[in-house]
Parts: sequence; C-alpha cells; structure tokens
Amino acid sequence: MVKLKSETMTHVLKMLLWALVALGGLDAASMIVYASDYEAFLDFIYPFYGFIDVVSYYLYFIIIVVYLIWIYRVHMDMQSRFPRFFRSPGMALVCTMVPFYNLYGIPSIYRTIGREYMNNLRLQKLGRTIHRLGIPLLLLLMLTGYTNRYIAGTAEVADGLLLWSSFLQLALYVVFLQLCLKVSQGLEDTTIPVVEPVQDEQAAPTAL
Amino acid sequence: MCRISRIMENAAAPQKRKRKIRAHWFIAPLLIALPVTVAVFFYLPRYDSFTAMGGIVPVQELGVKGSVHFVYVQEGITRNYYERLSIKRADPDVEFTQVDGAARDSFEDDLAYGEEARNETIRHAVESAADLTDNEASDEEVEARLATLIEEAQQYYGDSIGLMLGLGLIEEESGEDFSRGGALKIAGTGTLEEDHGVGSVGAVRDKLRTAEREEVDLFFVPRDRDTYWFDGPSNEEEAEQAVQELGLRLQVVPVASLEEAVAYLQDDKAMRRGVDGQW
Repeated sequence: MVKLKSETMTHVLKMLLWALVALGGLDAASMIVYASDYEAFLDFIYPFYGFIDVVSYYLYFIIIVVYLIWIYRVHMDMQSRFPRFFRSPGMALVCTMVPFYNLYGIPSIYRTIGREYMNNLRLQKLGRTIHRLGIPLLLLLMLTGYTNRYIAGTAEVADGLLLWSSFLQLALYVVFLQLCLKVSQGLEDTTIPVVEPVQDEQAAPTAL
Repeated sequence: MCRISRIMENAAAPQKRKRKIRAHWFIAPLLIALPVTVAVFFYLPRYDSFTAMGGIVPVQELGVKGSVHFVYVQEGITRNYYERLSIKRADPDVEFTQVDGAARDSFEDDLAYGEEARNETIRHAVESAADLTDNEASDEEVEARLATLIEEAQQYYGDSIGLMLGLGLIEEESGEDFSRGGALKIAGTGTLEEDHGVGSVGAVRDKLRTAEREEVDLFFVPRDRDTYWFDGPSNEEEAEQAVQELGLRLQVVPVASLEEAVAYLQDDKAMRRGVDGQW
C-alpha cells in the first residue's frame, strides 16, 4: 500500500478547518446576540469577540496556503490512483489562483474529481457529493468576498447584513471542510487493499 | 507470495501510521498557535485615548423646530491594539495619544461630568433663547421643555451642544429659518453659558472634519483666542489651523455669544453670499 502524498496535509487541513468552523460558529452566535441585544453583546461578548475575529482572520490566510499545498498533492495522488485523470497539480493551482479564470477553475476542480470518483463503483456516492459542492463553493466564495468588501467600506452596516455575512462565512467554511473530508475519504478508499476471499488453492490455480 | 507480501505490508502499516500521527499532530497545533499568538499580542494591555470623526445631527432630532445642526465626535480610550486597530479601520485619520491605565477611570469620570455639563448647557440654551425671543413661557413650561430636551439628548455627552441648541430654539420660538429654506447647512460647536456667552470645547479639528464631510456650509466656533485658559491652541486658533492645513471649504465663523451668532445669521448680506457660494 503506497502512502498518499496528500495524507499529512489532509490531516493538517482537516484540523485547521475544524478550528475555523468552530470559530465561524462562535462568530455567528456572537452576531445573533449583536443583532438581538446590542447591550448584552457589549457586556458579555465584545471583550472576547476581537480575539475570535483576529484568530479567524489569520487562520484563514494560513488555511489558504495549506489548502494550495493540499490541492496540489491531492492532484498528484489523483494522477497516481486514477490513470485517466487529466488535470495536473500545476493546472489545479492555476485553476484556483488565476483571477477570473478561477470562476470556472474552482468548481471545475471538484467537478472533475467528483466525475472521476463517480466512475468508480465504490466512490460513486462521494463523487456525486463532491460534484454537487463545486458550484455552491464558488457562489459562497463570491458572496462572502463581496459582502466583506462592502462591510469594510461602509461606515454603518445594517445588523441584518452582518448576521448574513457571518452565516455565509460559516457556510463557506463548512463547504470547504466537507470537500476536504470527501476528497480525502475517496483517496483513502482507493488505498484500502481489496481483500480477496480465501479460496481453495486448487479451485483458484491462477491466484499466483 | 501474494499473501505473504500483503501480511508484510499490514505488519509495516502500524509503524508508518505512528509517524503520520506525530507529524500532523505537531504541524496543525503549531499553525493554530500562530494566529492565537497574534491575537494574544493584539490583546496585550495598552491604553490610548482617541478622537475621531462623528456626525452632524439636526436639532430637529431633539424635537426642536429649527434648521441648524450640532456636531459630535467619537472619543474614548482603547484598551489594546485590537480596539485601536478597529477604530483606525473605521477612521484612518483618527489620532491616538498613549495614556496609562488610570486614564480609563478618569474617562469614566469625565463621562459622568459630561452628562452634568450637558444638562447645564441645555438649561442655558432654553433660558437664553427665551430671553432673546421674549418668550413668556411659565416656569413649569420651561422645566417641562428642559426635561424633554435632556431626555432626547441622553445619548450625547458633553456641553458642546449648547450654542447650536440655543440657535435652534430661537428659530423655533421666532419662526425664523436660518438655513434660508434649506439652501445653507449650518452647524457649529460651543457651550452656552448663563450670560449667553459661548465657551470653549474640545476636538474642534475633528468636528470641522466631520462637518466638511457632511457638506456643512457655515460652522460656528467659540471666539476664545483671548479667554482660552487650557494648554494648547484655543478653539478659534485650532479652527484656523485646521482650515488651512486641511483646505476646508466650509465657512468658519467665530462667535463670543449667542447674540453674535444670531446677528450673523440674520445678516442677509452675509448669508446671501453663502447662498451664492461666495464664502
């Protein structure tokens, strides 16, 4: 059994994404309090909110770097596990990082991986999920990017918008985590050796 | 042979897994520790006082039937870099001065004092406006009006509201419209004393910046060059400096009393120049 090249990065990314989802959940809960009872937010949440805000902000950038390494290595593994898989690791980075082209590229990465998994009987379900998550991922990336820029450039932001922004951010983190879990699960499944039923040596003379 | 090699692989697997677990259990917490360290740094105690731009508020918001505006600024003490950064993000031109931890307590005291000073200047505004318009309201009516205004102004601290509130009340009681039908946006700052004098205030530079941003045409400041007894430039000098340094478009008018401000606003010749954009 050959070790996956993406295995360590998968574990690291999973842990970081779980941390980010937890922080995103705390942020969304804080925003609910902010929108419903501003005084309570100031008294009980504001002293800690900044901490959550700073950790999330910097963790997000660390995750972007880890993610790029991970997606590169995932494509190395995809090429070694699925001989017909056409996208190179370098091309995957181009799809992710080149502005405008990534509008097509980001969903395309997951649709391609999803399609490849769907061709494998054992991975069909995983493949369908990954294939479906590509478009929501792009929409969430665009929406969160737009709302964050709008909020940063506006002096007074409506409570509702802050709340929505927070939920969109959380949804984005959850989708990222789901994709990381599903893609890595598919790759791990391809490494599990198929246990052949033990047969009588005479009945299976071609086993050697 | 096939089975033997598979058994060998399986036997080797636990050792490999051990190494894998060690690697990611080390890397991930280290990467999480980086932003946590940054956040801890942002939360280290460091106190700074600041003043930043605020907004202009029509006196109508206090229930006064006038056309003039008063200006407020944001003031406070930040406790750490995070709060400092948040304020800086909202207003890049905000000015900070490092202070010690005790400044926070004295700021709380200032707020309490500011509340008293605000109520006093509102009283002076009500009484001064009544004097200048010969309003013959009963003591009960004056007290009731005062209570309403104090209630409406609860969210603002400090006494710099006095002059503009006085002008708004004069408009209300005399039926005049100093804005010439909304053609001029009039704002200003300054306390109002018992003798109708206009007293010095703080943060004039930020108030002028706020007024300029809000497209105010005419801005009253206290004429206090000879009476200012605090350290630093008087309000009048600070306003002159700000107009020059920031290239402000608005017309700054120093006044020493409520009567002087009213006289300026009732001077049709001067106001006509403003309406025509010739200030």
